[in-house]
Amino acid sequence: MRNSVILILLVLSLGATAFSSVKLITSTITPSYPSPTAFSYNVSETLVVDKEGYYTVVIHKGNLNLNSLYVIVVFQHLPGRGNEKTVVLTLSSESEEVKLHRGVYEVIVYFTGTTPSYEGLSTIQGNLSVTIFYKGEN
Amino acid sequence: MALIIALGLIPLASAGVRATFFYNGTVLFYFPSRGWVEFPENFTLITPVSDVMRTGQLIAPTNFPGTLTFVTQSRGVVELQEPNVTETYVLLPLNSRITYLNPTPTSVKEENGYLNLTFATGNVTVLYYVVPDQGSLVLNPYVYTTLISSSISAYMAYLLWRRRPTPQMTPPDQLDDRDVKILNAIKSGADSLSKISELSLLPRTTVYRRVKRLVNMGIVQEIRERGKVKYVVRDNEK
Repeated sequence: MRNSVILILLVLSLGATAFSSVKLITSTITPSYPSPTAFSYNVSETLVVDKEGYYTVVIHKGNLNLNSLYVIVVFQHLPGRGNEKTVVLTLSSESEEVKLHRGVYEVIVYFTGTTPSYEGLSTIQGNLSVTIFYKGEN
Repeated sequence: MALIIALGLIPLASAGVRATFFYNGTVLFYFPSRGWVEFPENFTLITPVSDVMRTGQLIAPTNFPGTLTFVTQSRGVVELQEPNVTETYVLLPLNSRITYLNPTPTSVKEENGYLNLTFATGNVTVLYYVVPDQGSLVLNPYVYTTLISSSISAYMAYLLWRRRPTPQMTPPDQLDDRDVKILNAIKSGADSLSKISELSLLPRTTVYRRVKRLVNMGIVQEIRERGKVKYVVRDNEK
């Protein structure tokens, strides 16, 4: 009786070992895409902040299939220089918070990354975007 | 002599020197034509001294086009103050997070697994930190589940092995079924090993071994007559 309990536990643990080993291998080995295409471009916008506080910066990918993505958002306080904020967004951290004071900012967004297959730059630009919205004072 | 070298360097200070700052602290200055840079503070020159011209704080390679290589402690800070550098490339790992940039780069590109920031100046400051790689084995939960489940499997296998049935050994002073068969064969008149083997239906080697044991136990008597060996059951055993 006790032997059969041990046998059942052994079979279960062997199954769990096989399952987690497969998961470990698939999560460690990065899939090789046929021909990843790199892209990079930047856009700039003027942002008027009338409410001081924390703002959330989020990337939107639309229907775009991406291998990797690196977005740098630079907030340059106008007209003076030197009061800059930099936020980095990636596929693993798609949103970040930044504290902004009242005023006018020039927001420069640098997009770079790779797609698994060729995508025209206009398609990428049409799908990729960054949204900034007010979160609160704290 | 030093004056000649200095004069040779200074008039062509406008040459577009390009700097590449690797995140590991290696800094490369490329001189496409005659030019110089100021010896950067806290930098260590790697290029052999024989390939370098130096006058005070000004430094240049002896041949153009040429390169100068330095190393510095990076540790999350990329800082370059070189008025003669027209373009600076900063190469960071993709898992780095930039917290400060000055000035704003002209382009940001992901190239060969690195983030390449291009600046149209030699006065560059970049602050960054590196986050643990998502693919790191330490952070992968399946490493731990695999370890735990394989440990449990090994322990269960050990328990099963320890509880395996052990072959039943007959104590040396007790008779088993085969011994009884041999004794019955001898009692039936089989007096040689071959006859005992025939009657008991046991292999001859087994019969030989067991008969010898029965002889040693005093149950069977071995009688030698005219060069032949006969076996009989002792009287007290009959």
